[in-house]
Amino acid sequence: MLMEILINKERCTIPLNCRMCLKICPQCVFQLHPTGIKRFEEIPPENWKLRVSYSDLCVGCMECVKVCPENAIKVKPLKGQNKEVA
Amino acid sequence: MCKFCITHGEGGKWYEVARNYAMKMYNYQKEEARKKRAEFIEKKMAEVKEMMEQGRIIENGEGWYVDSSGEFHAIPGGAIDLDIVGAELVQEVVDATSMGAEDLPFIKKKVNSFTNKYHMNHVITYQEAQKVLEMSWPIALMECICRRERRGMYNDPQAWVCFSLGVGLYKFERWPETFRGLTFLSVKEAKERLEYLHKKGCVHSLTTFYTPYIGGLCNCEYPACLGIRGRLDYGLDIFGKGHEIVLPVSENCTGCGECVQYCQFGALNISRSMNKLTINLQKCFGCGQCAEHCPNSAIIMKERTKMLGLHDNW
Repeated sequence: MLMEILINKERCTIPLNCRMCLKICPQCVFQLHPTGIKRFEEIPPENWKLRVSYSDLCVGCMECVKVCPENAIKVKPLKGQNKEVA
Repeated sequence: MCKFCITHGEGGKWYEVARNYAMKMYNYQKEEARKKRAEFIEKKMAEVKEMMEQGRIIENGEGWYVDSSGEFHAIPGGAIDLDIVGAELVQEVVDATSMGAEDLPFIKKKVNSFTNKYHMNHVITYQEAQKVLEMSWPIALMECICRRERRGMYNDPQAWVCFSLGVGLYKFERWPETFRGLTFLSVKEAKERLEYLHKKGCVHSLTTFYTPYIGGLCNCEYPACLGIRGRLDYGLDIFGKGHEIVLPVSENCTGCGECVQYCQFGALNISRSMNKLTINLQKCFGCGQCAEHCPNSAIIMKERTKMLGLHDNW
């Protein structure tokens, strides 16, 4: 069953300073990706955004939900898929 | 034979050709040649514009376009960051896979044409990696981009595993985020670091930036590495197999299982009934980690081209 991981961007403001979900995920599904790269400049911490990269590999172990200090992550089954297990 | 050896090998292995580490590939030019190139770029841009008017371009972005047959092209003279474009293309495949999109084969074709032409990893053994460090100059150690983005190892000395090689390093001041934690090393220091990483069990691989220019020596691991993950989990052509494979020697094997923990590709297994090592050679990438770490020398390396069933499995 495919899972859907929702990140509350209002609560998870500067993921670079925390990075707990990235370290704990057994399937390594998260990505901390840089935005607004400029020449000759290091980008500020708030420009590093957290996103879900390999959402189809999530197994729903809920470790990220437990570890998040801001309760910003939600994991639930993706809607609209066939629930019968093959 | 390996596809890169055919086109860039000069009769041998493509990564043993010194030209592929050289400045020439990075378009250092004299006045006259520069003028010629500017003309070429202008001509190419006009061509691209014409193609766009005729509707022969199905997708385009900053510095690149995809033609109607699904091939990825970088516009000459346009500055694209291969790391970022590559990661975005792989992300496109991941999203298409999770949604079960019908055009997944077309997206994969596009991404494979990008990786083959511009940015790809190729597995080499420890001995070859040492040779590469002797051939290339300058050498600098930098933070692994994959480990930083996928595992959050930001400003972490444990993530200083990627060697940046050659003249591509001249722009380390231009992109401080890409070249984070850059430390210039002598050949001896680089070899010491390589030995340390080898003992830890990292897979050595060469990275090309505009193939065949070799700009990096990565020390990868599953699952953080985008290349290994893209190849194993999504079937992309982003991480090429090496020129060697391993074979078990069952007389020497005691079934201790030491080798299994060093395989990043899931090719090794200990047969519970025979108490011997079995190797799935279709999955073997030829990094040689298992052979190096075997205490009883029960694994030998063999050339891939000598195996009839595997010589075209890259």
